[in-house]
Amino acid sequence: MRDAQASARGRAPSASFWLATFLAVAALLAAARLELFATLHALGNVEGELLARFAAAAFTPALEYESSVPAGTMPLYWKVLEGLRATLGFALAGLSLALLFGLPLGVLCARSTWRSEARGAFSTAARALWFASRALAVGLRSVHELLWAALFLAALGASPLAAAVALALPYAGTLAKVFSELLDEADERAVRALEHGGAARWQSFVAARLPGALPDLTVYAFYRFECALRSAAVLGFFGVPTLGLYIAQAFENQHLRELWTYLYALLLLVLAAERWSGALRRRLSA
Amino acid sequence: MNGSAPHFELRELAVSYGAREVLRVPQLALERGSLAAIVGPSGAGKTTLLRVLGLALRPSAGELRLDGRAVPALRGRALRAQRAALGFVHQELALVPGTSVLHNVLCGRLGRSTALGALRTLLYPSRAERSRAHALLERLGIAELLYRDVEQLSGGERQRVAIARALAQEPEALLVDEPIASVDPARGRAVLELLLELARERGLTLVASLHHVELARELFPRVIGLRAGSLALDGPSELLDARAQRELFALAPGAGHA
Repeated sequence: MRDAQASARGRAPSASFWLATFLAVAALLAAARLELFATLHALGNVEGELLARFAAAAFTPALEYESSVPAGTMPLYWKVLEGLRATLGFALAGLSLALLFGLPLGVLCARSTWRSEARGAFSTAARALWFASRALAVGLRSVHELLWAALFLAALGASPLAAAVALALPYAGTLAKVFSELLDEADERAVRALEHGGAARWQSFVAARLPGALPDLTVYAFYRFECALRSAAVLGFFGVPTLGLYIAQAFENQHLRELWTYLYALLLLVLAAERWSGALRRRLSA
Repeated sequence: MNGSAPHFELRELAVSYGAREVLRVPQLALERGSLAAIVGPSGAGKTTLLRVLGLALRPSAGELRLDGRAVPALRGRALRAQRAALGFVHQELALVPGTSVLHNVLCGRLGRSTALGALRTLLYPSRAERSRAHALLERLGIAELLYRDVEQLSGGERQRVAIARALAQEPEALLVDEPIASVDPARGRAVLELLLELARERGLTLVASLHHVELARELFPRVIGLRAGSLALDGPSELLDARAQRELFALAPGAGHA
């Protein structure tokens, strides 16, 4: 089980894969917003021209606004930094909420939490609670964060809290699943030995079950942080002021060189996060 | 505490898994401070008997009395207190992987402290608790390993950590399952001598299961022989002469050669 998970983590899509996906989604969303396909159809063969301009802009990202802006507008580099800060902030807020809710849920989803030592099996009440916890976790993670975002932002407006909660819900469901599996994989002999030495169940949980799960859980939480960065950026397309919002606006205004500036900023952010979590992973698994 | 009653007493004890009976002991008594080895071929029920004595396994029939008191009635807090008084050293050692030697030794204190006190002990051991753990490891000759990860230790070192954890419970008895199975043969005798010394200096009742009959006979004052789940022999170790050994290890009646 542990091996399977480790290799699953090893095969986790790379930053470039995610960037490509992100670009594709961004382009599609922007295209839909601009009714681009209908326009292109009307204009005939403009499609090739736009793609060529988009590709060319990649080599000349904007260092200043492409069109004149009202006096007092913050400079472009400041806007990029602001977008990065907001993206980082939403990712951190979302992941913190997800941990706060997902870790207790993970304990409730673990088989080992409910199994009684005396009977070696579940009581009916325990089975019901276990099932309810797992159903909740499945429900949370089966809806993608963008759908949660569409729901919450429609209901509550583009409030920062709504965006963070939209991010946190599916992440909590996934964290709960992974955490419960890590807890169930703990060395049962050590847990039993402590209980046979007089430890209460919650004591053996803290002393023997948790220490086995924590390093892997930390590594996984860092991986989810990378995911949260990308998700936070995409939330910009719903009006949340992250890099995604600036990307959508730049596309709408056909400021393709500005668009690339934002994309490169996002790429750097994700790469930095990946470096950081990679270093931590190596230290924990050493 | 009843001074005259034996420390451990079994009456008409039987352990079954489903319909299969794996252990039957009509009567067995161990006084406080007795030093006994359980011997017999593998599968004879040595570990099962130890687990019953250590309150890790409930007998299917009959009863276990500790200091004259029947224990099947024990539950919850009372069961935990009684278990804390019995130090068990498992054959597979059962240390907490990925944690320090200190953490493992402190785990032995869990049954002896209040709920929150135990948590504090594990997260922020006090100077006194650390020095007690250190003293215990010093007695076992591995004081320098206090902060090492248990996964970096040799088999013999890990075994000493498991013994230290059991002693940290401040037990009245030490129950040890196959102590020489996890160390090389040359060290086996030294481990047994150490266990006997520890039991004598602390006045503990010591019961160890051993597949090595010669060492049991030489080092332990008392032997308990099991054969195919029944009590075949119980008394001073002189009883375990060549003939008794042959009988103990002879093939069970009806079993043919493979």
